Amino acid sequence: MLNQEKVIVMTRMASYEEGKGKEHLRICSYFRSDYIGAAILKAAAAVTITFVFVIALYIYYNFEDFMENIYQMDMMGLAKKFGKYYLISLIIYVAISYIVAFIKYIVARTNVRKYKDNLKMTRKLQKEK
Amino acid sequence: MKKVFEIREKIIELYYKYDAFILPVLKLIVAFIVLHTLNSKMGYFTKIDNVAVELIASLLCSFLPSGMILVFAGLFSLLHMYGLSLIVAGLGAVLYIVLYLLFLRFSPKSSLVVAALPVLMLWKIPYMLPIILGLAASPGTVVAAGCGVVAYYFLHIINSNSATIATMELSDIQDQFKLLVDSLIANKGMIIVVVAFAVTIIVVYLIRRLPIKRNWEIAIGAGAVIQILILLIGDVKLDTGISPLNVILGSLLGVAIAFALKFFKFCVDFNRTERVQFEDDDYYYYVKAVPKINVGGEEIGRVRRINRRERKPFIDSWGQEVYDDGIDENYDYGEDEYYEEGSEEYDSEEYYEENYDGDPGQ
Repeated sequence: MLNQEKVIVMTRMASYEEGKGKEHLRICSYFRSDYIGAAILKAAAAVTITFVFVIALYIYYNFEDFMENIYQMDMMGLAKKFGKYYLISLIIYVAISYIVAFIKYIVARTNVRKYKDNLKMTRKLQKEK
Repeated sequence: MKKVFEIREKIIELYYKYDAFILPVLKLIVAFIVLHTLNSKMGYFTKIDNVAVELIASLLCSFLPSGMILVFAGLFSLLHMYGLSLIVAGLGAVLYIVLYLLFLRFSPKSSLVVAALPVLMLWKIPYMLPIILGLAASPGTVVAAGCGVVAYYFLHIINSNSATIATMELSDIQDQFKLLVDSLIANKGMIIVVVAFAVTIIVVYLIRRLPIKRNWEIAIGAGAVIQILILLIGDVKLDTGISPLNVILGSLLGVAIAFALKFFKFCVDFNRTERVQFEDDDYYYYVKAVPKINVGGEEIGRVRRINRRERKPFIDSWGQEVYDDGIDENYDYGEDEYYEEGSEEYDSEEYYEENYDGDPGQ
C-alpha cells in the first residue's frame, strides 16, 4: 500500500535534487571557510588577469610616448601608481566576492537543512509503515 | 472576463502539456534571431553570413544549455570583428574576457539576457527588459544587463567606424585601436543606460518582494517612472542622444508586457511539469508533478506544506537563524538514527551524507 504523504515528500526532495539542490548540495559539501576562500582566490585571479590586460592596453595605447620617453620616465613612480590601483581594485572586488559567496553559502545551507529535515521525515514515515 | 480566464487556462494547459517541445523550439527561435541580427548588422566575415550557418548554430543551441546562445553570439561577433580588422577582434576578445571574469561569473544563468539585450537595443525596444527582469528574475540580472549594454555599445561603435577602419592601412593599427578605445570611454550614453537599467531592476525587484497589497502594480509603475526619469535627465545633462520618445514608448511596452506576465503568473513562478524518479525499499516511483492552475489569480502565492510540524529557529554562533536539528520531543527519529563510532553503519556513505553538513563543530 502506497503512503501518499511519503510519496509527496520524496517527490519534492527528488525535484529539489534535480533543480536547485544540485548547486546547494555541492556548495554545502565544503566548509564555509573553504568555499568562501575559494571564491576569494578566484576573485583575486580574475582581478589580476584583468589588470594585466588593462596595463597591456594602456601601454599599447600610449606606445609611442613610452618609446620616446622610456629613458626619462619615472618607472618606479609608474609601477607604484599601477600597484596602488591594483590593490584598490583587488580589495574592492574581493570584498564584493566575499559578500556574494557568504550569501550563497547561507542560502544553500538553509535549503539543505530543510532537505535533510525531509530526509528524516521520510525515514520516519518508512518506519511507520 | 470569464472568457479571458478560460483562454488563459487553455494556453497554460497547452504549455504544460507540450513544454518538453516548446522550450527547445523557443531556444531555437531566440538563437536564430540573435545570430541573424548579428550577421545582418555586421556581416564582415562572409563565411558565416548565411542562413544555413545560422540555422545549424541555432539547432545546436536548441538542445544545448541556454548559455550556448551567448557563446555562439560572442563567437559570431568576434569572427565579424576579425573580418574587419585583427586589432578590433583582439580588443573585442579582451573586452569579452574582462566582462566575463569580473561580472558575468556572478550570474552565469542570466547569459540569455546578455545575448538578447543587444538585439533589443538594435530594434530600439530595450527599455521594456529591466521591468520584466525585476519581476521575473533576481537582482543578479543587473550584472547581465550591464554586460549586454556594454556589448551593444561596443558593437555599435565598431559599426559606426567600420568604413574608417576598413580604409586604414595595416600600419595604422594603433590608430584603429585608439579610435575604438576613445569612442568607448567617451560614450556617456552607455553609462547612463547601464545605471538606469540597474536601478530599475533593483527597484522593481525590491518593491515586488514587499508584503503589501498591489506590490506588483506598484513595482511595475515605479520601475517605469524611475527608468524614464534617469534616462531623460541623463540625456538633458550629458547630451547622450537617447531618444525620449523611444524611452517612453519602450517603458510603456514594458509595463504592458509586465501586466501580461502578472496575468499569466505561471511564467514568473517558473512552475512547470516536472518528471522525477526515485525508489524506496518496496517500489520504484516515476512521478509526474503538474502544477495546479489557480483561476482566482491570488495576489500572494500559497505554500502548501505536507505534514510539517512548526519548528522554531534558534540563533547559531554565526548569528544565523537555523532550525533545531536534533532535539524535538515530538519528533521520533527512531532507534538507529545515530550509529556508534567504529560500526559499519557509521562509516557508510549514506550516514555520512545524512549527518555531515560541511560545518565544523556542528
